[in-house]
Amino acid sequence: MKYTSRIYLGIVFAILYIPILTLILFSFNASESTAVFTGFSLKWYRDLFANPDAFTALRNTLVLAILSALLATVIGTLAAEGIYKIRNKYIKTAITSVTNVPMMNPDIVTGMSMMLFFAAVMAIFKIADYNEIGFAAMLIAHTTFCLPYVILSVLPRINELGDSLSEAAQDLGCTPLSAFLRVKLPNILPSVLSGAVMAFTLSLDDFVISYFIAPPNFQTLPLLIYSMTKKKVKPDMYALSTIIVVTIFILLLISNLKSDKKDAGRKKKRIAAIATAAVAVIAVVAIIFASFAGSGIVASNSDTVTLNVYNWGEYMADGSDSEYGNVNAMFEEYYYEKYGKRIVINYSTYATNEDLFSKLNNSAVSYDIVIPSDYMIEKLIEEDLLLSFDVEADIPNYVNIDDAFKNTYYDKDNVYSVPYTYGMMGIIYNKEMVDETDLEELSWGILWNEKYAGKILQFNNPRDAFATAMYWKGLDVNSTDPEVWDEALSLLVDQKPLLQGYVNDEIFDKMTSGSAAIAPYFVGDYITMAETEGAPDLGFYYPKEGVNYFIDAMCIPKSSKNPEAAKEYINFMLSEAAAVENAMYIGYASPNKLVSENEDYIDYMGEFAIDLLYDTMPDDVNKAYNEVYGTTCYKNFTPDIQTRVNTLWENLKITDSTEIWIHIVSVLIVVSVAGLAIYKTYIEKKRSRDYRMRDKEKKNAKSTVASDKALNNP
Amino acid sequence: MKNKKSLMSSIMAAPHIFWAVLFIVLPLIIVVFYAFTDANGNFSFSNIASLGDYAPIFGLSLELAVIATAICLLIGYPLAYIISKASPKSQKFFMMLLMLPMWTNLLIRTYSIMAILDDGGFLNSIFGAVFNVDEPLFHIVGTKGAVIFGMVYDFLPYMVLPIYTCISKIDKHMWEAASDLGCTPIQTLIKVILPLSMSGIISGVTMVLVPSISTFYISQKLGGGTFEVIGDTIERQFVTGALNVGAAISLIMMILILISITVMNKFSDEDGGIIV
Repeated sequence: MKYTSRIYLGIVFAILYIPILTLILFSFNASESTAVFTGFSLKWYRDLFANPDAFTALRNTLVLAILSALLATVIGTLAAEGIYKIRNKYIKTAITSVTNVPMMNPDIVTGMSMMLFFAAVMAIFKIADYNEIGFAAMLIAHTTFCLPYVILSVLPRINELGDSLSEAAQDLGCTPLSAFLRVKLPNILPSVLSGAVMAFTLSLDDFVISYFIAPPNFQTLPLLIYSMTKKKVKPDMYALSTIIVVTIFILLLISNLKSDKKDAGRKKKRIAAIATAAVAVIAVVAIIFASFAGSGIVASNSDTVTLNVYNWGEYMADGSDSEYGNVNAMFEEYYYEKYGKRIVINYSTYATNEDLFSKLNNSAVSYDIVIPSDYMIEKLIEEDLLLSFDVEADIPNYVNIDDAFKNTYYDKDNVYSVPYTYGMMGIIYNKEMVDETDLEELSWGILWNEKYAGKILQFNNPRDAFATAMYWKGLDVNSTDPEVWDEALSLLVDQKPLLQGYVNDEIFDKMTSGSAAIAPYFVGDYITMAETEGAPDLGFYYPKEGVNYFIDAMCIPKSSKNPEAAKEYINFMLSEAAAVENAMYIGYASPNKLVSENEDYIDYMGEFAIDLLYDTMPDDVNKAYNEVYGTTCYKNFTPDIQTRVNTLWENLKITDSTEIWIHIVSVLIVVSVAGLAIYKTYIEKKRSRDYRMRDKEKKNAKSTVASDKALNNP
Repeated sequence: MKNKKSLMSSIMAAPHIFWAVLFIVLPLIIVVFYAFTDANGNFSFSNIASLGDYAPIFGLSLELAVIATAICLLIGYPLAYIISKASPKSQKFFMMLLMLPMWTNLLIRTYSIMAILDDGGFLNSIFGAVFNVDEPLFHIVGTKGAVIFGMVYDFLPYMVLPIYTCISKIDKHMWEAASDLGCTPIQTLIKVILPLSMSGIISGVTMVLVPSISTFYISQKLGGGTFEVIGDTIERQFVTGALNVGAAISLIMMILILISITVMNKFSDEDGGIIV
């Protein structure tokens, strides 16, 4: 028995820890890949320690997790005791049901509703700057979704414990409060602690809820990591995870060894002492951290200027990679020299245009700089969310921008946006896995080639996925005719059985590890993949039927508190030094003339990359590019078409996704659970009937005896 | 006297009730409001009416979550039982060991699972080298099995924790009494320990079932994006600006979960009905 249980434990923990060991392994990878190990290196640890964003994020995450776990544990434990004492069944059910709402809601609903709630709070109390209440909002949101887990952990134990102990204590002279603190609490302590650990864990890992609530000056680690999924999550994040896990593991071992030496007796007292010490330490650390976090917020009130920048993840040389400079720090310095005033940049990041939109549209957060794509700029202008200003006059460095990127369809008069990057998508293929004859056509059709069934990838977002089909068949990607979209859907349905999957950033790992052979993606990212050490030989082409051109541009939201500093920032980003640094870091093409002519940049990127990135621009740049661009870029959907595309995308995901065993197994489980429940109630009923029968018989027997006696004694 | 005492104790729930009304009920009202209005804020049933389209997605999400929960219970119960019988020192150690993987980021953890299970991942490379084949032997990522694996991997601690807490609190004399009365260890487990740990099981099932239904990153990454679960759908509705439809879907989902948990509690045991 002992032996089998050891084996069992061994197997379960092995499965739990193999992915963790893999994670640790890749944190030491020599290349950027997180799917192929090419050699040992400490590069990512060096990068991590040079990365100011990562440490700020880590600090924020820990502060939040500790404080919210503490708060949730205190409120939750008291609540569990209170709920237990409530005798009215309906009130009890009502309270517990409400408590569990945040647990039952998908995170995104909790996040969204909280965001709308805080927007209302700010409107009611006339709070102008979300940064002021942002941390409190995060703390409230995290505590709220941790609460049900604490209660769910503590309540069963209180139920089991019953009243007898605390009643005894009260009979012996305890007040109800001291009976709770001195008798009940020590008894329920293990479940209180496990509730606290669970709350801490949940808060630590939460992305979705924080995403909607986070103020510009408080980015947590999960937010930082998820925002990288537009491009790629770098191994320095693996390094950070490794440090966290290993540190905790070592602490665990030490505490285990130490407690070994102590006497085994007086266990309860020791547990209580450890718990008190732990709470004290946590509280002290939390206060220290909180004062740190607070200092950032307070600083914004003094003479310094704050600028809230909201950008794509991995989309600016922000010092997160030791190879490149930190343009934000460069700007802070520049600003101080020019104006003699300190400026603080709150830099935070997002992963999709739609995420950015929902944040700008629904929340009370104000940003000074955002960098959306073309069609999203159109949408933001329509919704009246962007500040209009005279770009040419206000941004002197605007002359550096190639004329081809001015007077674009989304901003005809150049009053909303300043181009930041541009690029195109095309087909990436594995040269070893794809036959040359299939490449000759240079067509999107290769994504429908049955020869490569199971080796083809497709975008996991409706906009880009539909576009591949539409470009292939010469359909208008901005069509307002529903039938055109139906036609594109049928193409995607045909393609589905051939696909290995619909992916976003996983494409980096899948292509560099040789899991997949063909994928559509952006040219800048292809260059990163092709240059990844240990990757197979990857090729790229622009399909002849036409490709998507995108432009990402810097804009100032209407909600900006500091548009003048924002303009200064935009202007600085167009200067040669900053623009070159960014272009090298991002790897996408730059619309800045100073960049494409900069020799360091050309050297760094290499001829191959420069050709791919820039030679696709027609010779007669100004007119031709805009013409080409105008026909193949994405435009903002009308609400009807947006709904239509959403529905079609869902249809695509539903079609042919049945794996019969899922139905069978789940039905079996439900049936057997129901069967057990019915059997149990049956047994109980039968038993209670039996008891009643027995009682009756006994009574009968008694009465017979009595009547016998009565008969015998006349 | 008795009433007064329980009233005093009920006051302990007051901070929570205050908190719940302010930060749970009010935001919930916002969700309900959105579910029953159109984009212009007018009252409308069209969101609720359109929900029929999502039935297959609802169904699939439920099925996956039910299977994942069942597996978690099957793996987690013995685990909790074995751990609870270890020495107090190792108990603490094992429980922390169980929670530790959760302290790495969910996304990075999922990528690491992919690096192992993918067509070109470690598992296939190793077996490919052993059996000298080029083609991947196991196609795991992109199937529903992979999604279930991911759910079990991520939510197992939420199953083990409450069950363990429950079992470890069972009076040790119960074991002796049972064996004195002639129970084999297996019989003791089934007839004595299992019924006594029922409240832990119910907590565990709830804590695993609910997040499994609404998760979306696991299914997106490990499922290869070839099918959708309800979490994906709600997310897309929200980010593409269709707040009202998203709110309607989540409202219905909440009601469904509430009903299923209530039913489950009815059957659980006499006093367990109040856990959720």
